Amino acid sequence: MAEPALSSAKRSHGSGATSLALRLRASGATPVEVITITVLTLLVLWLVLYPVGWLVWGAFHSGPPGAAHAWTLENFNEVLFDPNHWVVVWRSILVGVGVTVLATVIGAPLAWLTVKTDLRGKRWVELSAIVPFFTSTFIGALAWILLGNPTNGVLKLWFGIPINVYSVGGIIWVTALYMAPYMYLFTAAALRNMDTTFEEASFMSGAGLWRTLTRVTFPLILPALLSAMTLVFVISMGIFGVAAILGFPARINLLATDIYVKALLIPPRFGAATVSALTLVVITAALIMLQRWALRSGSYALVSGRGFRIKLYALGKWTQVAHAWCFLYALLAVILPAFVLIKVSLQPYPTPKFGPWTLENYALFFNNDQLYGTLLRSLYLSTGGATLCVLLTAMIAYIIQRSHVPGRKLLEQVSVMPIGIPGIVMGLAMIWAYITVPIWGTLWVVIVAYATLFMPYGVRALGANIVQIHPELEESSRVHGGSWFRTLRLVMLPLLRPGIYSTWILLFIIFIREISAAVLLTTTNTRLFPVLIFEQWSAGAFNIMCAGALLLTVIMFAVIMLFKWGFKVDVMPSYR
Amino acid sequence: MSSLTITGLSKAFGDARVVADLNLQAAEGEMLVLVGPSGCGKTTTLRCIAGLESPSAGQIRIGNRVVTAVGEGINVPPERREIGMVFQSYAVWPHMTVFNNVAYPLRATGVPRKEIPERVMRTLKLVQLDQLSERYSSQISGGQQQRVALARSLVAEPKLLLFDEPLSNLDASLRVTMRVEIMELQKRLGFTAVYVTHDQVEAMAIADRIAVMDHGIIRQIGSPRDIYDRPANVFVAGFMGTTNLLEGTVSRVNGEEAVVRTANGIDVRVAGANGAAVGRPVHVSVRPEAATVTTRAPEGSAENVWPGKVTLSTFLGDAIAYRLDVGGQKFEVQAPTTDVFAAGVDVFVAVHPTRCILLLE
Repeated sequence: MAEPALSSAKRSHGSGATSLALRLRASGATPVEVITITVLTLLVLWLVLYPVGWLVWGAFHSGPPGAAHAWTLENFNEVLFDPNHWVVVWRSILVGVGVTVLATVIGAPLAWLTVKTDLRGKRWVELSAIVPFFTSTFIGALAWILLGNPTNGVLKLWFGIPINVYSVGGIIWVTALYMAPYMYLFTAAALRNMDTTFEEASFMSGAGLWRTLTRVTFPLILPALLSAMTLVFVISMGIFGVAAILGFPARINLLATDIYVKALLIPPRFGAATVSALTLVVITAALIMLQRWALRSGSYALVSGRGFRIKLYALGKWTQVAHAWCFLYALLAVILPAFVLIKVSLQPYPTPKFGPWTLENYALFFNNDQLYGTLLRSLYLSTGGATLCVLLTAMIAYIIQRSHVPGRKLLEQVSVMPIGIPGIVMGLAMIWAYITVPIWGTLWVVIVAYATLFMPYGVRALGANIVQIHPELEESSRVHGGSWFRTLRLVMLPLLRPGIYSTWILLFIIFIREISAAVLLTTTNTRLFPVLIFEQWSAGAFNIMCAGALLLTVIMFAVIMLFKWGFKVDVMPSYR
Repeated sequence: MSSLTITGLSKAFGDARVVADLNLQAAEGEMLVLVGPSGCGKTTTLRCIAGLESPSAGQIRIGNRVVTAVGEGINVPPERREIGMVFQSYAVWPHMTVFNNVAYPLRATGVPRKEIPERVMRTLKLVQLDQLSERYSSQISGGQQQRVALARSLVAEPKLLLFDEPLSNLDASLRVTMRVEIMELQKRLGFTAVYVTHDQVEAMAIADRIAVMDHGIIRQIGSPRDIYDRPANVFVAGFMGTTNLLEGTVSRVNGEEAVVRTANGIDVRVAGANGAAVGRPVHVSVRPEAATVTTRAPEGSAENVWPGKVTLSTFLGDAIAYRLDVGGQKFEVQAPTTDVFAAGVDVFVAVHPTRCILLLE
């Protein structure tokens, strides 16, 4: 005697759609599941492929977005045969490689020191690696023009160190300083997860510390290191804030700023900007594929499953050196920049002297309706955007990790694609795709762009959390009478709550500080706070700029603290 | 009427066939144990019964209700199969108290609210956890978590209970205690159970009937006694306990008795040689405890007697394990501790033909 409710599933194997329905049904999915997954996959495909498709379309057409008609190869002609374009391309690659190498050299030793040695004051080291992660390269660059400009930089005036951040070296240096936390976090996670017995076996075989590090530890964490380096390279290739602030004064363009300049020329050369954008995407996509290929055999199982204690190496006489290294990093990435930002933000005009002091620069943001409106708008956008993005990515991550429905592999691949799309490229693509749509010129376009761009972060962070939740916890609910939805509501969501909170914070912070995608995408009505700070920089209002940068930092840390104390949520970024 | 009927069940993951055309029944109130090495398909079979895995072919009936019939597109979701299940990881929800864990199946199936506290507490009492009902899983021991999982699977009084290696995460002594408790509860409450384990000792202790699985098929099914004393094939003989497998060919058949000549030239007389034909290659299984070791050849005995040499003698406390060399063939014997023979001593091994099992496959 068959279950009556299910006898409706008995159908003849007729059309293709029916057989797919049968296949879905046979995979154990309920109709709710099938509908959710289908809608979600289509949504993600649309979010990612629609603007990218328009970008490609735009490259082959003459005229600006919204008014482009004639099919042409002129854009490619104009850009690819411009020798200057290739100078910019090679310079961008040089910056990407330089940043990746330098960030690894800074970040990986810090990770090893905090995880694997008896270094004292590890919490401080950790903190000085996390703070730059949140404050971002943009604010870092703002501080460093005050520290390292060649005429009246603090380092030159006070310490006589003649450095010039308005150079390719300066761009690499500042970007690497603030990308080092990525290397730190990924390396530390890999080291923490590695079973110590692998190293102990090496020592027992008579190898010393150096041999063990180079022959055992390093090869084991290499896959993690390579994915972190790929991420750093891709991000730094597309970075706009640093490249603009440190590059424009010296007329040094990178691909990201080149796109910006071409799009904002009078008259704008959108076609050329689009071809530049495609060049950038081709490079980042190629690198991601190269990394996938290099790691095609899959990463090693570093976790043995049983508990283990990490053996700490005694640093002995090297303690001083280690402390000096950590302190130097904290000094350059956190202490000096914070000092100079605070000092300048409290002064009415640029001066190397202490005083006179004023709070006017801060007051401006609250008294001026336009500035205050921008501040509030950024808060709304980040709060709402992070919430929507968490909801979306939670569903995607859940389906990727848990369902057996055919088609989830496609969903996975498409949802991580935006990793290879730099913010400024997405901004340009969104213009092509949405300029004729009524939501153009509203915050919704910005939210859609941000949600798409940072979807991979949410999917990875939440995916890592979902993996931690044993499948049997859900299966046990199903077997004992709980429907799919009840299981989601009463078992999955409560267990995932800490992960949802920490992902929300991560996305909130990324959204509120994002500038690359915002510079092209926002109009007067949708101007966002980082863009405002950027404009203060262009206008040379350094004191107001510093106050703005600090306000932004204070907001980010207020949110982190709110969650840490209010919801007891660890805010360490957990995507790895 | 049987409580569980599986016909023609197959499950393939990609090209790998994990369960192949499996047929199985469990009678009402029976404890049926699926045992086999890892990857033999026992857990997949159990998950198909639970509805957690969708089989590629076959039919599953619980009581007289069809819950899976692949050809007809029937696949009742797990929550509507009215079963209970104890998982290997216990799967006690860490964000709920013991009480709420156990109340979950009742709430999910819409049992009236008033009845819930009474039924939960009665079930908790059954597993002696009524004192800990307000604790969280992080505040109780592994054994207690196992009892919570057991109570949760029992509380809705399902007709069929599934156990997926429920004891494998417990330490040895607790494992025996919990095993006895599960057996007692099962006899008392009379539920039908399918129990999966890779531990053959646990299987023999707990089972009414054992199905030994390998590569997705059942190699033998029967009572623990049957399986151990009369294994149907080399795989079952080797998997269920240790045994000496002597390879040879049938050299003579004499009514009920056959003689097998091994590759090393030893003659083994075997009782109950049904179906053996002269010249056929066979195996003979001799359990270590079926053989005795002496220094003098027993004369005029009905037993098989072979000369051998002790190569290793291991004291086990309640017995001695000998490794012998019998005409070039390794031979394990488990003997009482009354006589002890050191390594290097020449001995005789004696086994009665009724304890030599002829294996045709």
